[in-house]
Amino acid sequence: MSVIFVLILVSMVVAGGFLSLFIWAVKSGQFDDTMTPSMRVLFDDKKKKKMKQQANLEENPS
Amino acid sequence: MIQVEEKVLCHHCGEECRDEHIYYDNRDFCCVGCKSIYELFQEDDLKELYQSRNKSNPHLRGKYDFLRNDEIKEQLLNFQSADHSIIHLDLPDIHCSSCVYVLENLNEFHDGIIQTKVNFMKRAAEVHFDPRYISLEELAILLSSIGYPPQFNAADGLKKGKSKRNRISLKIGVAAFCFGNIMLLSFPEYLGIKDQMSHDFDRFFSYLNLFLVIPAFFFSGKEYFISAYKGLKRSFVNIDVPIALGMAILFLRSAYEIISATGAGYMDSLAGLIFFLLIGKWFQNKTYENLSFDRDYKSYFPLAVLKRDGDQEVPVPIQQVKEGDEIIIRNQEIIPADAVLLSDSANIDYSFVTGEQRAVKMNKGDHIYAGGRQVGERIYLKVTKETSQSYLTSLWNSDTFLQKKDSVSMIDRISKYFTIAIFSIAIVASVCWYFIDPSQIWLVSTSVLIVACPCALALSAPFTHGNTMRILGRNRFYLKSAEVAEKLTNVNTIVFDKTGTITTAGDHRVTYSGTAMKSLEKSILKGMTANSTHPLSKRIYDSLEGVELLRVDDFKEVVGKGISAVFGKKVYKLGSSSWTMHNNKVREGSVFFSENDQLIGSFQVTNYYRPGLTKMVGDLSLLKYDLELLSGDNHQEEKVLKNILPQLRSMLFKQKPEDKLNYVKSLQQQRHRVLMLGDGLNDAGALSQSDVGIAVAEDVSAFSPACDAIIEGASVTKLSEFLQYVTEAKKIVIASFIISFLYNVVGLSFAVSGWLTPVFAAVLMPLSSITVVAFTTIAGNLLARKLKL
Repeated sequence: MSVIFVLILVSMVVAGGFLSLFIWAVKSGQFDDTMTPSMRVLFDDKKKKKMKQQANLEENPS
Repeated sequence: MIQVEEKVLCHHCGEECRDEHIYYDNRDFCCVGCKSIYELFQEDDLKELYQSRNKSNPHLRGKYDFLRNDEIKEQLLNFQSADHSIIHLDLPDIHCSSCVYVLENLNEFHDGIIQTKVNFMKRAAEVHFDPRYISLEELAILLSSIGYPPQFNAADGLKKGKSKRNRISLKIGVAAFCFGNIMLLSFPEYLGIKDQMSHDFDRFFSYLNLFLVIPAFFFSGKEYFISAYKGLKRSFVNIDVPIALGMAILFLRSAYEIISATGAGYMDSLAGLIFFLLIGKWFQNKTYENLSFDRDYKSYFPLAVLKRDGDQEVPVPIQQVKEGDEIIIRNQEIIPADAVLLSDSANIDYSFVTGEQRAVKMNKGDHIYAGGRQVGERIYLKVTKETSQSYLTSLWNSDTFLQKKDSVSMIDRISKYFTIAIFSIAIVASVCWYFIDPSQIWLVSTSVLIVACPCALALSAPFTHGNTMRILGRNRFYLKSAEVAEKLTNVNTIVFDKTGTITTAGDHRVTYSGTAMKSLEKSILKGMTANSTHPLSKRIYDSLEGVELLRVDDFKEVVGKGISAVFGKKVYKLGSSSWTMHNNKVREGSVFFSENDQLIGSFQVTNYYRPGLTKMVGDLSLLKYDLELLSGDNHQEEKVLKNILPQLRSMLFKQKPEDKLNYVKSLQQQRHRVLMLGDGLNDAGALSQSDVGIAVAEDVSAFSPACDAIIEGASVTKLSEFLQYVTEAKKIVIASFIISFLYNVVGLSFAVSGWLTPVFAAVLMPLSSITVVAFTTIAGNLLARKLKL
């Protein structure tokens, strides 16, 4: 049964890891602006398409 | 005049075109961003787009020349090095997702821009740029040319600290982590598993709990102790005193039980308590980050002004403008300091200060107060007082703006009695137990303090007020903080400003009476009014939409009388009855139009009152509010107002800013609790003096004076519903107080009889909090539905 002690300690370490990830996320400002990223994503496709086009142009300039 | 009611939807984003309306390629667009995106899909090259646009905007040169000043630059830039600068810019024209796209692709417009990051809610962007390729001035010109002129004002450069919300979410996160883990580790205790095997686990789990509660207690719960200490230092018992007491007792008793191996402790309850309290605080503190409630004069004034230095014109920061300096004000610029006019004439629009749109003609040597806006050619001025000493800004430095309104909230008033009651119960219980079983005294008295911890009590007001703020915000009435919701319930007198508050700021109704005008006469009239700067002419001009403009000769404008012009040997006059030679009885507010001294007709220019105003004022007077009106305008509208708003107790006209302030003060001395609605800087003093000052804004992201709440113009007429709502919401708070008292009675009876177990406490505390939260939220939403908010 003493394996439970080890398991609980391991689980605490894992949980602590997630907590520190959360703290990092807050401190790095990921929750400061929750509105703009939702709009930014709308145009991601467009940008990629454009980059692809450019890459195509560079590969085989016509 | 016909009001355009038809909604025009943007071709790109589908939103209604409200302020700006661009017609391009047979399609409607709501902003430059949307139009750019549209063009982009056609052309697919942003650079070309910019170049074509940049050429068409030569007048932008010079507008931002103050950004060349190193001192100002230093103030504005967040970071600068030889090849990388960062600046935060306020771009009030951001309003849809296309704007975000265009701005974030700014590097395609110009190679000197490294990266842009838009914050949509704050209408701001962080721009990284390379100063070797693009200067700050060029950046500002680039942004204006694509339709996003950055806003600079004197309050900039005072860099803002990190937002508080961040810290509270961090605390909630830590508390939630501790709470969840402690609950898991307390499960054996809850299930009552008691055998020899689990004994070792119990000890191990208890110590883990003790270890886990430390961050929750010392990091997340810290501020309750600080606040309680601060309160006690001022010999004032706020709600945080019983909370801090309960938390400290919980912690100490649990730690003692764990270390002495006499019990499992109440660590789960403690962590849960902190978690719930912080959630309440977070809910209440959700504020409108994108709105500013604390603007002072610095936000209105420009950052810099052109100063004449010998033959040169140099931009200087307005803080450095000294008495005797000669400054240059260009078209549409704001005069930053009291000054004497050196040029021959000037046309000063004080709508910024007074809220009333009226350009005033000034002559050489006239004294001009700071805050006016020059309309027309550039003028030269000699500064007589520094900005901070000016007439307008000194109003700000007066006591009204410095004193902090200290009001004791309902919850803090109750908490005093609550604390006394808890202590009495604990003492009585201890005395009783002294006779029954002295060994139990310690256990019982701590149990009383633990279970009586006013968690539910502390949560009821934040959740109700937080909910109120959300519901009002949905109706475009934005409160500065939850305290304002409570203050609103105590108001008994409402003071309205006229222009911009009960009338719409820009719109005027121009009615014509007389013989029907021919299109030629209309065109002549338009040509005449186009030359005049008088506000009435401007309004008549605006009403002649779609009429062809004719050039008139020999234009004359006589101040106080009217204008005249010649067209085809006929003299046309527009103005007062004596000026137009028409001997009718003089009516104020009428403008007469004549041809060769023969009357054609007259114009009646009246303010446009908000629809629903009469009903609102009627409702408010039924709710027993005293209603008053303060206007900076003249008596012209008095009769109309009396007619449509018979419930007004008094109306005062020609009120200067300090008159308004003093009037509110005198009302307060007569024990009125005043709610003031106003716009414009002229109301700023009165707004700040009143118990609740509400700024009326047509566009909430545009500037508004310092206030407790901001309301969007169209929502003003819903005021009676808003006030009904907050009054009812107060009843919800009281009802939830009763609920939490009932829980306390149950908890206390267990504590007094010595039966309080950790499991019981762990169930009772969250249960009471959740009941209160659910009750206030559901009741608040039902109430909103009933009032159709």
